[in-house]
Amino acid sequence: MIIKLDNVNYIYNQGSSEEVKAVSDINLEIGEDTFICIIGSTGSGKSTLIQMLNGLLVPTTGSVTYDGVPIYKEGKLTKEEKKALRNLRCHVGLVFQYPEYQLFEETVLKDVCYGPKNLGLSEEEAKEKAIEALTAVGVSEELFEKSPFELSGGEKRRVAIAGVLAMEPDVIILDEPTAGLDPAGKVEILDLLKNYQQEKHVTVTLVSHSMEEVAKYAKRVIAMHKSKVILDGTTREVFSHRKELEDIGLGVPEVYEFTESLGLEGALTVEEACSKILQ
Amino acid sequence: MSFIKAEKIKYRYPVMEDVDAFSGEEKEKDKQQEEPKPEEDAIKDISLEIQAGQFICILGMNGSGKSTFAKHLNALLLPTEGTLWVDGIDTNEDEQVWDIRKSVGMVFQNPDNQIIGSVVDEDVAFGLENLGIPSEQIQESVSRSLEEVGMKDFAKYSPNKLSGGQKQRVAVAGILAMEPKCIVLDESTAMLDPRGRDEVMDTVLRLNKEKGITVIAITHYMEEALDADYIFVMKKGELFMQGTPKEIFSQDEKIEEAGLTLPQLCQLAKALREKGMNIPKDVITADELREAIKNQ
Repeated sequence: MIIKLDNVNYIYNQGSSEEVKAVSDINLEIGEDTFICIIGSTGSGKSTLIQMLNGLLVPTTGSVTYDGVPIYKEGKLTKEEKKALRNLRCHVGLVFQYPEYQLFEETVLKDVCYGPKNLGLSEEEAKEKAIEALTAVGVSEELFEKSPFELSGGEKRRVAIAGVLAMEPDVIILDEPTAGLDPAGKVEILDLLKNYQQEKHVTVTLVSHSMEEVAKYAKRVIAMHKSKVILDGTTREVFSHRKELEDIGLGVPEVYEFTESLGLEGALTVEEACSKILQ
Repeated sequence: MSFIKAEKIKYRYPVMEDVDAFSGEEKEKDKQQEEPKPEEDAIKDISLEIQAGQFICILGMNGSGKSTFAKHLNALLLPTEGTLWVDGIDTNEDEQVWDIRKSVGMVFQNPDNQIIGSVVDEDVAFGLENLGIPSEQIQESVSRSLEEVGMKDFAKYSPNKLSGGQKQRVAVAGILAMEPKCIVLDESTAMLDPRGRDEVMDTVLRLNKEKGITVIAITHYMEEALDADYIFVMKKGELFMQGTPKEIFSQDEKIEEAGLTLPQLCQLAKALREKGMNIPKDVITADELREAIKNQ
C-alpha cells in the first residue's frame, strides 16, 4: 500500500495570533517494502507529519491518499462512509512515544486484543492475532495472563507495540520507540522491528534522534527541518549531506565522521568502518 | 574530605500492599498470605566516594538502581541501611535535609514534568521565593542564572514555547539560582534531540569546569561518559565497576555483562583489534584511534 501526500500543509491554531505552521508543502510517498527513519530536531514537524499519515490530524490543505483513495471526505458523512474511512485508516498503525503509558487492560493478552476486536474480529480471531503479535515482539506465553503493569519497562513497551502489530497494518509508524531504554533494550526493539519488516514485507517507519541507530537500521531516511522535508533518499545519500545535517543540529554517526577524517568514504556502521580501514 | 560518601547503603522500597492508601497506616497482614512476598533491595551495599568538583557518570541498565541511588543524593530517599554523607551531613538527620537539598539539585528526565512557572524567570525564581529571599536579590540571581545557561533572552518566554534542550537548561538555571555545590542529572538528556543533548551537557560541563560544581550524570549515552572524571557502573542494585573512562571502556566484556554497549569508536577499535590490528586497549577518543591506525 502506498501513502501519498500531495502539497500537504498543517497549521496549528489557524486564524489566531498563535498560528504555527507545523508542516509545509510536503509531497511524499511512503509504503514500499522497506525500513524508513524520519530525523529532525525537536519542533521540525515530525510528529505532526506522522499523525497525518493515519488520519489523526487532517491537513489544513493538501491531500492524503492510500493507493489513490483519499482518507478524508468533506461534508457530512453517513455511518457507512465513516466506518469505511476508519477501516481504511487502520492500514496504518501508529505507535506513540512512551506507548507503555497507554496500556490499560487487566491482562497483557486482553490489551493486545483490543485493537483487532475494534476492527470487528471475533474474540477467537482477535486472540489469534494478539498471540501472533506478542510472539513477534518476543513476549513469552507466561506473561500473557499477567497484568501489563507488572512487567518491566522494556516488556511493557514491546506489549504496546504488539497492540499495533496485532491489527496487521501495512505501514507501521513509531515515534521514538527506543526513547528512555538502556542500550540493550534499544537493540532489542530495533532488531525485532527489523525482523518483522523483513518477514512481513511491510513498511516500518520510525522517528529517531540517534544517528547511529538510523545509519544502522534505515534503508531510506527522511530529514525534516523547519516544517519541510529537506532530504529524502537512501541512508547513504542522506548522510553524505553531512554539512546540512550538522547545520540543522543532527550530524552524522561518530564512525562516519571518523572514517571521513581518515580520508575514507564515510561509513554507516562499525562493521563497514572496520572493513574500509583494513583495506 | 569527600563531597559524597556512601557507606554500605541499602534501599528497599516499601511494599505498597502493607500500607493503607488513604491513612498511610500499616495494614494488618493478610492471615492467609503466609509467606511474605519476596523482596529485594533496589540498591545493595553501595560504598563509594565522590570528590567535590568532579564530573561523574553513573551507567547501568534500566532497573539497575541508578535512579534510586540518585534520589539518595538529595535525601529524597533515605537509606534503609548504611549511611550517606552529603557535604559532611548524614542524610538521615532531619533538621539538615533542606541544607542538603539546597546544595544538591536534581534535573529529571522529562522537561515537562519539572517546570511549574508560566514564565521562564518565574520558574527559575521558584526555589528562592520558597526560601523567602528579598525580591531584588531574587531578580539578580535569576538573571545571572539564566545567563549562565545561555537562556537570558528567553526570560519572559512561556516555557511551552521552548525546545526540550532549552527547558532542561531552564531547569538547570532554577538549580543554579540556589547556588548549589552539586547538580545531579537523572537521564536529563534522554528525551532530547542531538543538539538539545549537546546544549545541556555543554552547559553543565562548563559549570563544572568554571565554577567547580560537582556534576553527577546518570545516562544511557555512553558517549557522554567519555568526558567524565570517573564512572560508576551499576548492575542489579550493586556497584559493578568503577574507574576512569579509559579503565571502564577497555573492559568490553564486563561492559557487555552490565547490559551496556561501548561508545561507537570503542566498538570500532575493538573490531579492528579483532582483525589483527595493533590498537591499544585504552584507546577511547577519535584522536587516539587515528594515531593508533596511522602507526600501523
